[in-house]
Amino acid sequence: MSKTEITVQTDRFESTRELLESVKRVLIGLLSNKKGLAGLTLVGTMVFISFAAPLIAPYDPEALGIGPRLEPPTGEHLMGTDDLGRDVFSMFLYGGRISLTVGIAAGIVATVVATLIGVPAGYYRGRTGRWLTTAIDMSLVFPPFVLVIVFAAYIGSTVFNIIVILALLSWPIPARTIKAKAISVRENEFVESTRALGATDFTIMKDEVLPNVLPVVFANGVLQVVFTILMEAAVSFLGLGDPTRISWGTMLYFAQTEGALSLGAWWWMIFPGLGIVVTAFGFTLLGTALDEVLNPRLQRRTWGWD
Amino acid sequence: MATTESKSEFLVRRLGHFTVAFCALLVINFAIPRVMPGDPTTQFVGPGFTEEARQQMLEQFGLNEPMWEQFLLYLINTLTGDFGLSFSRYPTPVFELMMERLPRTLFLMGASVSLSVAIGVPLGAFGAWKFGQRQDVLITQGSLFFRSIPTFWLAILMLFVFGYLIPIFPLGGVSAAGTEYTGLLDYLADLIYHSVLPIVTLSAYFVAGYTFLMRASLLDILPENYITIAQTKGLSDREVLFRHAVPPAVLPVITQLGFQIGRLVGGAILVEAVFSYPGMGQLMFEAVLARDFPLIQGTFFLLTLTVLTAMLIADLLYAFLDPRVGGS
Repeated sequence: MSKTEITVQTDRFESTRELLESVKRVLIGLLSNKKGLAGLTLVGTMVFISFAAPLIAPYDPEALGIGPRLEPPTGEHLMGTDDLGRDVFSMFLYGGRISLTVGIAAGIVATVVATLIGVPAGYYRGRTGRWLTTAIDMSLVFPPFVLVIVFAAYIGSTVFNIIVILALLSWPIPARTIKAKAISVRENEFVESTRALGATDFTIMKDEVLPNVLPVVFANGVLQVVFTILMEAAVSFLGLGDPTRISWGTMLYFAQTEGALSLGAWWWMIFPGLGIVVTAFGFTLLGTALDEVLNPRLQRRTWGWD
Repeated sequence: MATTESKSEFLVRRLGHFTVAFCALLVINFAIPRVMPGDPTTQFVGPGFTEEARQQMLEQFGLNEPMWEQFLLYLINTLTGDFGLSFSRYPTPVFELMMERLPRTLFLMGASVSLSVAIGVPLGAFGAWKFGQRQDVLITQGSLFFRSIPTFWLAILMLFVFGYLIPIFPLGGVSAAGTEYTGLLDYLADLIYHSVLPIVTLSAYFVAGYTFLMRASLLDILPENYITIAQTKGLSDREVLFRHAVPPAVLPVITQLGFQIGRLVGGAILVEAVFSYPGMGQLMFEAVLARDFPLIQGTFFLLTLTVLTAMLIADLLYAFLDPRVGGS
């Protein structure tokens, strides 16, 4: 009894060290990849300034009449002011928190769901595999954004609801990629031999298939965040975001409904949009680089088909 | 990858997919207003309805009847195009509102797909041909960047630059108020003039997608033996590329056409909202803002059905064009 416990302990220690080793390897790979370096820099900067918002923001983002109304960018108001005299730069910093939180959280949940469905869909050959594959194919058919709008309109949009809706509607695309990878893993000899030793399907999936699928999962997860960040912005822009929280999307919604363009207040629309573009592009570069580092032979297939 | 099934087997399988998806759509559309929190009748009967109209809606949708009866009534109503009355434009039927708008959205989407394929496919082919060189890197990075721009924000930028700063295009809509047309050509010219910015905006995102697909697809084909043989036979680069490599590489791009349509519809909603383009997307947007539930459901159903149909057409096109489906 005690003997097995000891083995388990060393195993854990070993695998923790191995994990640290591989994290280090991936990081080095990313830093020596031009796209990876650029992506890390962009994402890192946006995450830092958003979460350090209370330290950086010169004004309270919700305080009205901080400056004159609709003032173009000046030294005092780096990104100008809106129609209520709020400081756009402060709103930009705080808005980034919500956009990033929603995008990253929804991206992670979507990737977890995609893995939980994609791995068994690829691993099981019989009826289970076929049913799960049909479920993925059917979900792929529905236009995600149209569904997001319908759900947001019916359920109501708190930040939490938006995260859940985005996650539950964006998993099918990564699930398809993960399924394809799981199929190629299950054909390997070590899977057969583990089965021959009497391992259950669950154990094989957990110990043999999942570790080999993880590189694909990670790369797709990062790219998934791009998708959820853009979706959050779009939902909020349509006025379906959480009205009590500022995000880049809700900033653009207010700018649009108050007629920023006809007022010539370009700064009110340009900066929140740039925030979205820089963040999304940063995650795109990071995801592509991660794919190149983790799946060297797969890279041309990132945008592929079945 | 060689397919072993015959052309008719492929078509039957795809028709089966379409049917299952259509049934799923019917069920989802039935379930949404009934499982959501709150009194379901408030999702069919608007606050401005007369008592008579209220009774008529309760009757027509069987809201006081058991579920299975409601579902039967729902099936009959939906399949005969009866989606109830709009709340915000009471008492106009939802179906009537949608039929006025659908052609414009189909035009917008059709033009955008054509434009993005026309630009993306040659661009991707060029990138693959110059694989790893400066032009390829530029095309790849440029596409990645374009896919990171929110469609609605690009629409705002376009409107700002070409509507306000350099006012060469209209600020929105499909026709100036009170325009009288002398003929069909006149009407079409005005429609196209009003649609240029929305079409270009909607295409920008999808050009990048088709560029990637075409590039990846051609990169799969270029190392094949027959390409090398064609080259050693002394054919020029251009002949090898356009006669032997591009046609088979276009096929996988077609299969992706269907999947792209789903995102295209999402893009259309946003672009129409920014340009006040009176299509299905703007109708859905207005419906959501007004919490006009019958209209939300109707637009959801019809937009999804459009996507399903487009996917089926893409499949048929693929089966028709690919010699390997049902070939020797």
